[in-house]
Amino acid sequence: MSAASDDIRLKYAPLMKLLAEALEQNDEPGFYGTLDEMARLREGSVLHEIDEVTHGLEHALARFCAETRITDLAEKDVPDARARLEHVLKMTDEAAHHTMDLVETACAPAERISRQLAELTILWQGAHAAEVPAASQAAVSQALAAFWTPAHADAEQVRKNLQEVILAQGYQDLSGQIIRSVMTLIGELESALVALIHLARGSATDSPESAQSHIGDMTQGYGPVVPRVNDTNVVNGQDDIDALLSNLNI
Amino acid sequence: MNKDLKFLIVDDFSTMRRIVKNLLHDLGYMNVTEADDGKTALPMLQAGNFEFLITDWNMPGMPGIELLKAVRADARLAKLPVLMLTAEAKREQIIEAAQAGVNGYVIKPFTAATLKEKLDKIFATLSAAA
Repeated sequence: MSAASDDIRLKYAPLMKLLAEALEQNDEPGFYGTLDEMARLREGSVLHEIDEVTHGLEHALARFCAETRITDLAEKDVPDARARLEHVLKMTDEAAHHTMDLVETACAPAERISRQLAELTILWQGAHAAEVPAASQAAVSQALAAFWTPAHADAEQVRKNLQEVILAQGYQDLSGQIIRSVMTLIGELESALVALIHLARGSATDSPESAQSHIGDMTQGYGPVVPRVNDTNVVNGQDDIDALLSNLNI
Repeated sequence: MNKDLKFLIVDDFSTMRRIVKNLLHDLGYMNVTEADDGKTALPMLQAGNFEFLITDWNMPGMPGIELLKAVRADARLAKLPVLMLTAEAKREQIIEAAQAGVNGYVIKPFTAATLKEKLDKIFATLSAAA
């Protein structure tokens, strides 16, 4: 005899005995009372089954959410993250080259100033030596006159390039913002995977975090524009912004 | 323009704060203070007699747009000139900033000339209004 029928016997046999006795003794209230009790017993096990079905459904739903999020992450967010990192690579590459270009183009004028100053120093010292021919005084004046304007232009070029070098470091902010968004995404991927592992083990029924990506919104900001990732409805440079603001009287 | 003007630069990246501070120094503005997000900046603004705010948008804590709204909502700060300096490029964000009362909007990456031009434009508008 199976455990299930043992269970049924254990639950219902005493009640059936009472039912038969009540019928035999024409005990109508006793009969119906016992019948009600049997019905309650039956209802209880139906409720238990419903409970199990509901539980299973919740589990499946949570699993579905986790799997949907994983699918989203795998199909959209991970390729997005790769595009973001590619953009960072390009941005850092360009910034490094731009910085080196600026330093290299500043080297020539800096060297020119230095060389001309060295030549002028020699001339100056010669002109101020003990016996000074008037001719060398004139040569110094001439050399100085020829020096000022180009030296000023060269120095200005060096100063401008140095300022540009500082500005070029802005890539750190822009690439940093993009890297941070990728870190957020990796965090999400991690929690979705952990949720899935827990579900597979049956160790937790908590549904995973919302299926929405947390990378940016209107108020928090979306971060720098990354081509093919978040480049819809964006302005095309400062001129575009100026036009937009001028329409708004700013 | 008054070179003693007191600036507050708000950006969560210290490199960007340093760049902007450098550019302001080049333009002759030496009185420059820094904050790393809106939450830190707001009490500084409320306490510190700042005369010009340059803020990023995307920052942890309090983003720049919230800072702008908080500034405009504070009677003592309501007229503070605010320049947004950010990589945020969606049209609706620029409109949102304009509606919140921004005085200028510069997109990153930017040039020294653009920053100067926008500062000068804000000063010109302010002195015309005064």
